[in-house]
Amino acid sequence: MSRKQASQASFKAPLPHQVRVWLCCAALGIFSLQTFGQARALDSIPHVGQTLLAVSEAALVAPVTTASGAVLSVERRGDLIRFSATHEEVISRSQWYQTTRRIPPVVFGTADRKFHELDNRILVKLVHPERLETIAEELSAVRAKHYPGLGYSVLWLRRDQDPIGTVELLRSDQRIQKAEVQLKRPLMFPL
Amino acid sequence: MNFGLNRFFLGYLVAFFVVVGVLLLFLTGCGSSDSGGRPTVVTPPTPVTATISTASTELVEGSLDEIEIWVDITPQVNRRISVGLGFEGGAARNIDFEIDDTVLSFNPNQTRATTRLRTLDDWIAEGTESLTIRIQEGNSSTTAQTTPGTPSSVSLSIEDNADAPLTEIEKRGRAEIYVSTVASFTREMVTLEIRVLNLGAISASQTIASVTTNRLVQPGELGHVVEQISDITIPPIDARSIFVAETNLDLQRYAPNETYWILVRVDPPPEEDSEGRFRNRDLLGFTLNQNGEILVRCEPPDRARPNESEDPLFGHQWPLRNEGQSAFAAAGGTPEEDLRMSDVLATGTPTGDGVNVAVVDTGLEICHPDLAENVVDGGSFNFKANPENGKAWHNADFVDPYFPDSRGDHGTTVAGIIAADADNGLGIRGVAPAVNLFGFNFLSEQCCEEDALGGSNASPNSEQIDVFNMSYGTFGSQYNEPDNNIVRYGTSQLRRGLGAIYVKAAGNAFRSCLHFEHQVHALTGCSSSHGDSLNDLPYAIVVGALNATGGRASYSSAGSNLWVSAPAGEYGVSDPATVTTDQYGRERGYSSRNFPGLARNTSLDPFGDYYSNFNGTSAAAPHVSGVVALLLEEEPNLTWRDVKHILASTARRPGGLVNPSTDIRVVIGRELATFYRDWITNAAGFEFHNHFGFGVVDVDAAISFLRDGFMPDSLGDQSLTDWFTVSSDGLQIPDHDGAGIEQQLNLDLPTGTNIEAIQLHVAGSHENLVDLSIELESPSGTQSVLNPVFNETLAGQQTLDWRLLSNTFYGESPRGDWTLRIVDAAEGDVGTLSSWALRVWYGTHP
Repeated sequence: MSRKQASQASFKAPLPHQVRVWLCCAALGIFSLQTFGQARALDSIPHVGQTLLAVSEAALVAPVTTASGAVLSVERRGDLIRFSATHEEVISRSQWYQTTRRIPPVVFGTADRKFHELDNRILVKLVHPERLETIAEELSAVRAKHYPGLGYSVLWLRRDQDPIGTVELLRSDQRIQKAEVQLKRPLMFPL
Repeated sequence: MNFGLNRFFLGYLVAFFVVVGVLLLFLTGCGSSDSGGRPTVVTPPTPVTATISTASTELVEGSLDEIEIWVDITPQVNRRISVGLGFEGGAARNIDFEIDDTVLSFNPNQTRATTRLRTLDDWIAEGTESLTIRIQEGNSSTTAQTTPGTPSSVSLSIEDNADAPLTEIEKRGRAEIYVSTVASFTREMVTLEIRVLNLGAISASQTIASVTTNRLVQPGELGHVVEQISDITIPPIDARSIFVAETNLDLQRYAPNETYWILVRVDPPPEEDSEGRFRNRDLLGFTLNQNGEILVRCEPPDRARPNESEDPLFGHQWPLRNEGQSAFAAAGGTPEEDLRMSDVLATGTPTGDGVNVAVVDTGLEICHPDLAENVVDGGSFNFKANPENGKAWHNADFVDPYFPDSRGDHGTTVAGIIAADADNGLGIRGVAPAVNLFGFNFLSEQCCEEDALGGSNASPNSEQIDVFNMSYGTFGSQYNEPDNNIVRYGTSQLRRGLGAIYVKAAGNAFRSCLHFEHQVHALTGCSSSHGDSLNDLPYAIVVGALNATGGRASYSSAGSNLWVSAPAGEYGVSDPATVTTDQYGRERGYSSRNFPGLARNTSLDPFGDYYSNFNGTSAAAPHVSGVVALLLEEEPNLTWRDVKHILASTARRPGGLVNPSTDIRVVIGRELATFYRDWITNAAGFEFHNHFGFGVVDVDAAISFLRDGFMPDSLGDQSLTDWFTVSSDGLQIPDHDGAGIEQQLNLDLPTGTNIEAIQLHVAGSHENLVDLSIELESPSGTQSVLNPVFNETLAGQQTLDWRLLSNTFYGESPRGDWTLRIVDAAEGDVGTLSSWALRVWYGTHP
């Protein structure tokens, strides 16, 4: 006797675009507020369907519980530290970092429940792209480049700059339509 | 006239009564003794005797061999006979074996009937099992007159194939250290960024890294140690995690005008089975110029041009013309297992003239004698030349992506396959020997896909590129939104809106069984091509690799996201690899490692500019990039979708053996599940195989397809649906059960549309995701394995959040019921499916 379980869903025309956008925004807003409300100790930023929580040795002096119930903490071993998150008995961890060297910005994704490093690149959409250089100078960014075809620009921050703080700053700037942190991508290698 | 009619009518009447009479006699049983009618003489049916036999009695579980079971009856009788079969012994039907018939039917006068029996694999260690097949006594109206003769049974044994399920330890895997070192340098110092990855599924304990530098005396021979650093602590590294260490070399200690090698080695931790592995070490090299600075700009060699016009190594380029040559290996290949471009080679056209091809890679030796002619002045870009970059290369030039590592430039080897100049008296010829060649050393910087993949109109101008060759991969199966956006932009906007073509290597992980090995890996591969998220973007042409006998290259990753395959070869020692360009000079390049093959042949390669051991899907992809350049020269108005369509429509099945040439089904629990599918022909008539995509690229056929009237941009507008999502509400995936779960989704899309690509998103959790196989079935009944069981890509992972592409359904209608099947093939770990979703790219093909 087969134990197959079947269910069926039928889809006709998708919801109108405006309704979908409205629903998505509402859901994202509620989700973000919830997360932010319960994890005030950590800087946070919405990013591609989830909220990124900035973790650091200083921010996690004591364990912090996120809105979804993950407990974030720091593990130490000699001059090494790493961040860990425990959620429903599943533990995820960052890599080890040497405290004697600069530790790159690390975030915890509330949806994927993983730790990510942030790139030193910030993606921005400017109201007037020709003002990119000015904004880059104001931020003391290492360099900046506009990609007209793609419709956005990239700012390279100094290694010691905080991408989340910078993006929050840019989001309150009326010259900026959009600003996003970038997760560091996995290593690419020749095949 | 009337008389005639009456006579005709009477005739019919008589015939009618005769027929009715006969029928009545038949229906009332006239002739039988109990009919109540007049007694008649009855002849009892002749009894028959049935015997059974077979040619083979010793079987092996899951061997795929079929045996015939013969049943003979005597005497020959003029009526239908049926003979039933019974089964005894430890082997159970539909668990250990399957048989086509349990009752064999004989037509009148037939004396032998045959049925077929196959063993089934169940991945259970159970020892040899017995099976007796016995002719049953007649016990029904059809078999009543059959009696067993001698022999009345056959006894078989089914030997266990020792394909046990994965144990807990095997499933959890082991640690696996992989080292990748990146060098940056100033005038005085080399900084080594040592990236130590644990690709394993368990944590690796603390260990030590060391760095040793030696002078290169001559190819393959190292001199004294110049510098040794042996105390770099590598802390414990979690599964699938990375640690980055850094150390410096003092260039003052190195003499000018010499080449040095750097060996970076990480002691394997005890958890790693290090025997025979080499991933825990990395080798780099550099050459110092007369000023003691690392050579970082291409300086053309001072040589006279040859007088001959023939390319001396062309005869070894089996991918272009396979005549069974060995290409410096021990054995040769199979004639005609090549790109089938004899017409192009005979006519000398097309050559890719005017087509801009970028090699997005580690670098490009723009002054290489066999490449320089096609390199576009100022068109290439060196991402390591930016002094604002904290890890720039001292004295590097923005438009010269020279690779300072003297131990071989991957980009230069890739470039030769596409673009080596033809008929210049030097080395080889490329597939498209007149293209405009660009090099972007994207991999050396690990940054800036906007610049490298078509989003930039200056520094570099990648918007002018027609074909991007991407012979690289990532360790990440996680969907990457920026990559998707850039490649989507490139296909929609570049080439005046016709779309750039992205050619991507599928991966070399078929045999990378880092954690565990199971027999099924021989069919499905250890890690699938879905382990690299770039391969699951529908905009790219993902390319698998073939060897010189027309089989899948031993390393070539398989998966439903492959589009086509192309020659690349094996390792160039026992079997041919690809002969291509290398960093020029004997002390630089892969040839400086003194591999067996061309590196030791000074007559055919007097200066050490070529390499005969290049392989990988890295070598397959540029063959396809070259072919695409030929097509774009032939018809500049082809869209990116046209190019994919032409390649899929004209690809051929490779001639090498595909073993097995059947689907592989395994009994899991008490239900059969299919984990591997042979070549399928989908409802649109396209043949597809996860090892090859639509098959091997056939150049002459593709060009003929164009010349025979294919109209550019005739596939209709491409549309992309939203995600259609099924919420599975944490549906439990039955543990160790071949039935698994099945869910359906009805897509009501416009009539007359054709699938160009389909993406599946699956979300859920499982204590060990390697247990799961994932298959999708289209409304037309085409089945595609998107995730093979025991896929190492998922080792050690518990959260499923994956976008998987399948090209299997290309050209089919997307309308109707789609079925998702997920099977958990190993006992002990459990999990649930949260949701799944489909989205479809479709067109309206003529």
